[in-house]
Amino acid sequence: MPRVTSSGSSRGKRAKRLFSEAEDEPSPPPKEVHDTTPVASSSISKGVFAFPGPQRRQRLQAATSGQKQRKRARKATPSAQSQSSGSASPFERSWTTAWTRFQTWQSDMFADVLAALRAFIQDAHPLGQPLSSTMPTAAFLTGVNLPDHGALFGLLAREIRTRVTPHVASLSAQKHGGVNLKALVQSTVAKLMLIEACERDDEESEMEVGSSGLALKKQNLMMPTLRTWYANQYPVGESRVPLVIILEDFEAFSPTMLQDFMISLCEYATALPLVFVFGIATTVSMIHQRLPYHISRHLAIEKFSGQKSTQLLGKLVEALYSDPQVGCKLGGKTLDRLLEMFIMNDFSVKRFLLGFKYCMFEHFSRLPPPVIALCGGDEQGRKDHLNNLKSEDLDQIRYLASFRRYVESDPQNRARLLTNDGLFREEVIMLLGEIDGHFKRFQLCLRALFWLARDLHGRPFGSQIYSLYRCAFLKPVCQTHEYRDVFDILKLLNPSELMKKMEAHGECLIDSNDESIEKSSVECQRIISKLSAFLKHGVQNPEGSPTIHDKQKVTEPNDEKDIVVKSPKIKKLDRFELQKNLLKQTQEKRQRTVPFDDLRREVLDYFHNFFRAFSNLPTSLPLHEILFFDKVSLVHRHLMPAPRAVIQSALDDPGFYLEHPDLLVNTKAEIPNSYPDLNIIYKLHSECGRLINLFDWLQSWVSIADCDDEENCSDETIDPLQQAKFTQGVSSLQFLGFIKPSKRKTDHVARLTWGGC
Amino acid sequence: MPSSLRKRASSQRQTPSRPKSPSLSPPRVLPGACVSEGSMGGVRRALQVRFADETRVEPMRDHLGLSSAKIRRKIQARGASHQVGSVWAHQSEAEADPVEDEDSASADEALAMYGKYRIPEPRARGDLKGSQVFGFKTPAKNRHAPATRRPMTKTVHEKDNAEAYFEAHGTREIATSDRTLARLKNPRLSQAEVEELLTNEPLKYQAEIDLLLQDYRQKFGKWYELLQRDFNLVLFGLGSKKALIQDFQCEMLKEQSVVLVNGFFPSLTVKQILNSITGDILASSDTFSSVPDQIAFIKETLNHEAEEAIFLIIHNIDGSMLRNGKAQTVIAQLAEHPKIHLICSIDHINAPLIWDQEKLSKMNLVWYDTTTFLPYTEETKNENSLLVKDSGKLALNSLTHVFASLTPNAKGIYTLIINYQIQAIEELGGPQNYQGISFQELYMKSRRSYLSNSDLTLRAQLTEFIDHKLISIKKGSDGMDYLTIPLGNATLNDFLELQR
Repeated sequence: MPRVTSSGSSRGKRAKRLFSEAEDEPSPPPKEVHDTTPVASSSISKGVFAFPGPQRRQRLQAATSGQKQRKRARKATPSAQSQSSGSASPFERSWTTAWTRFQTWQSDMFADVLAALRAFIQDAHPLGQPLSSTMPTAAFLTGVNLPDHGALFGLLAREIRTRVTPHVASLSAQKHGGVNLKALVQSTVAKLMLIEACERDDEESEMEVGSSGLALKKQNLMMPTLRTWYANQYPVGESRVPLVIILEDFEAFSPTMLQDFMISLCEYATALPLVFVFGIATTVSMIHQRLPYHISRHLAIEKFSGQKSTQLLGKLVEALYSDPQVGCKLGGKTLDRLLEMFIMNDFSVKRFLLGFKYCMFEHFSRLPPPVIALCGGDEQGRKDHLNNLKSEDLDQIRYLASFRRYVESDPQNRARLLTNDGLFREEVIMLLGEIDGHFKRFQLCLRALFWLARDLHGRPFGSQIYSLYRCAFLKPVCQTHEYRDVFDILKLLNPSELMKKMEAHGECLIDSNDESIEKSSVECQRIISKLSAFLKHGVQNPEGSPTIHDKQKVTEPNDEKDIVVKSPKIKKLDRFELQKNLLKQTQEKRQRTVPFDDLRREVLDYFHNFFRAFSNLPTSLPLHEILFFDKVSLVHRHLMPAPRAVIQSALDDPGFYLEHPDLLVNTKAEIPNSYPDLNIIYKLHSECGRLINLFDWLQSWVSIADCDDEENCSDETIDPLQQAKFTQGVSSLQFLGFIKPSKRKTDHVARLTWGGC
Repeated sequence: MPSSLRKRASSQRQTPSRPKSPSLSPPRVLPGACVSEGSMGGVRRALQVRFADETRVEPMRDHLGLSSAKIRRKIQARGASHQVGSVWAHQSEAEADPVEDEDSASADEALAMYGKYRIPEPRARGDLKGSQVFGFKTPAKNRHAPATRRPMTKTVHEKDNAEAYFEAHGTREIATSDRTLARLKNPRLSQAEVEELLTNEPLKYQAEIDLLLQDYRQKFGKWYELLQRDFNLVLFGLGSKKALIQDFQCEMLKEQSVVLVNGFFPSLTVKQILNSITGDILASSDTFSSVPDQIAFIKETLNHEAEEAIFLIIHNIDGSMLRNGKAQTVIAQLAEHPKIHLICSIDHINAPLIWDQEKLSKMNLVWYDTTTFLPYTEETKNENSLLVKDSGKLALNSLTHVFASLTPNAKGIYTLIINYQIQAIEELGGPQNYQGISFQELYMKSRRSYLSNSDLTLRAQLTEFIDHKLISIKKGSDGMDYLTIPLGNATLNDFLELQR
């Protein structure tokens, strides 16, 4: 029975006092005297408290009268959650789109390897032959990104269940690694024998299993049971359905348990058609490290490797930007942060998506409600929506920072845009359409650039398109040094390579129906034809096209003359002369223009103009706030925070949080006694070395805190109140992990952090 | 001169063994006084110059011991003119310098050292005494102008962590004073005393903290929405967040099923959390053989459409009992379910280390900085703190609780011990001479009143008492076990009253 201790209630009082002023509008919740009031949450005998909701409370009362009522109640009340999900908000719509995209692509991407695995399992135990003593094993290399693997193995298990065999046991160290060997075997057998949920009651634990009609208790779920069950289920010679055991995270199982498990299964290698799938995050040699030879010799291992998650992410990022269903697009800095999390931390596409989900949430909750409907959707929808908006609602759009800037830069229409709603509506439609159009071109430009740079030496823009997005969203891509690198390399390409690039680029542009893109497309075709003509001539006439010949004629006579003139001099072997001549010759060579140079310059100029035209940041257009989310500080604060830094800065500088003139002390090195107690104690502590003498600490605390009563204090007697405050402060620091007790010296504590305050 | 000081000085002069002379240590040397040493290159160099002159050092050392108080006064007085660096330029007393005595030369030396070694901080009181002696007035203590403690060195702050680490671990010796809390008249307060003293103490900056909390309370709606969208919340930052979360619960989750966990509770287990969910919320009377089974059951039950969501509130998810990987795995698996919403708080500076990528991706956390500056009263109560008197004292209410759960026989035995102890202490005239009831005697007594029939059963009972810290057991000089209850007679009488 929970009992509130005396200090607990006093604390409660303090909290109540704290909130009494704040709680004006929503009246404070009535504090029930019931046993389950939220107030009764501290006790010296209990650490967990349950407060069932009203619906549950009813059911709890009903539960005493019987289980049947409970089930009825369950059916009767419709779920609140399903109702709320009926109306799809832009957030829900965007999120479900993104999530389904992710899932379908994941299954697409792994389709090949899954099919290979399936075929492997199907052919593992051919029907006619007797079972060999080696068990077929698939080593499935998944890569290090563990968080995504749950979905992957779910997919695999589903695939095998539907296509090959219903008997699949998927084990993960997360769920089953903590238990002992017996429990592991039991759950494996239960899963293979298709016993659904594990038994809870004694009555329920005896279950009918398949057609065999065996009554089984959990204790009996052992390998011999499995063997007899299998012999009953699939008599020898009729059919041979493999039993598949998947170890999702092979490395995470404890080696000893894994070895014991494998040994016990090896015993049944000739009796049961077992097939293993090991999910391996590192390398295949892990199997040999974990399983010694006497076990691994029973395994016939075949290697399968999955796709890298970076590929999936590349696809996903592009889709998130191009899908009109997703009403929120990430701005440059936000994308940068999320990608940083992906690359530096976990390689998990799922977590990237969850980060994206958070951004979407913030985006939609921060936009003023009338604006939300403008995210995504077609032009007609937007028009209808805008026409329904009242003047006040339109003002909310006018308040957007980028629109204000836009209006201020256009003094002629300023007054009309701000007062005339009709005009403003048209303007908004126009601007949004402009963003859409520009963004489409922008994407196309990025795709073209990516194709251009994809197989260049050194891959200046990375191997996946997301890294290009990352660059291009931060500043116009033409200003980046990667872009310059690309062009430096392009300069070195030979005509046929350049031709290939041009053709690929032309294909990129063909699908577009945008006006300005079409213009470039025409230009592109013109250059392609020029290039192909050049190539044709080049192939027919290895010495060069007529133009080359002409130009050579212009320059050659000089050379001949030089040579004629020089030839007698050469005999003299004047080294300086020779050097001079050679220098001259090379310079001339450099100046000599090859016709391909002109053509190449034309091609590169074309590329450069193309990219420069379309690579303006979409986030620089007016009204971009409606479509783009770029509040990177939020991502920083709420997804990748630094809790320790926050605590330390609060301790260092309380004025940062508490706005009080006394706390605005500029010099960091001072310890004013106006600081909160804990801050003073922390600051004193941070001046110390490895060990802190409690006595001295206490004395210096008193010297700061207790400057009021000078007379009656000495080293030996200390005001109990100050001592209590100090005690509380030291406990808090210990609780926060700044200090710990030390046995090296009496009454000393050890510091756990370094550096001064 | 403090011994640590001297050691430092000698080590700088590269003379390893210098005889230690008995010296007075100044009254309040800050522990670890030499932290700032490494960064104070300039001062050190200056000191080296001075110390290089052996002849000057020796007399100085002689003087230093007897005149530390004067030096301090001088330091105070001359603060502005003799600063080391420019770090401590203030104090109006600097204008007057009446302290010119025979120690002035050594005092000057000490001034230089002051920047290097922290000679005790002059308390405000000390200043006053000095001024009284020498007849000038200290500035009136102004409550509004914060009395500041003068900084030691500026450079302390410019050091980075790595440097500070190696500095702290560079020396084996511990450069702190040898004084212990035993010097105090009342070295340690008990938990109860601390609580009593602090109950009526007003919180500093109450109004500002209220503002902060008000800020956080405005986010409640957003938090609730985040929870609804399968995010889970972590609150971090300085100060107890218990009240804030509790408020959130009162305001937003009144109509919801909530499981509240005090992560700082010392004997918390994951099993308790799971049992609370299955037993109290899902109203299942089943027992589960393993944790995975129980989690599977919870998830399966919640998958039913009609089941409403569960809000799992964990104060201090980094509490000592939940810190291990297993517990966090279980919590992560629970939090992963779309119908279980987790709201938790962390306080330990290394708390984020309890989660790996896998758990983080399952938990899908959104972090909120909720620095409250509220005291960790409840959280630290259970921690056996350094300064709290560890008397093993058993509060009356905990005794009543444990007692209520005992069997009638055990209750009888315990009452026997209580009665014996009260009587014996009264007869002996104080608890000092009371050795305890011997096991044999207790056995005889309990057999006589039909409370136990064998040696073994009695021992089993006693083990239970010991486990709950109801009694303590000690070997006497005669090799017998003596049992005492770690409570005073008054408390025991109260307890007996309560039982009647």
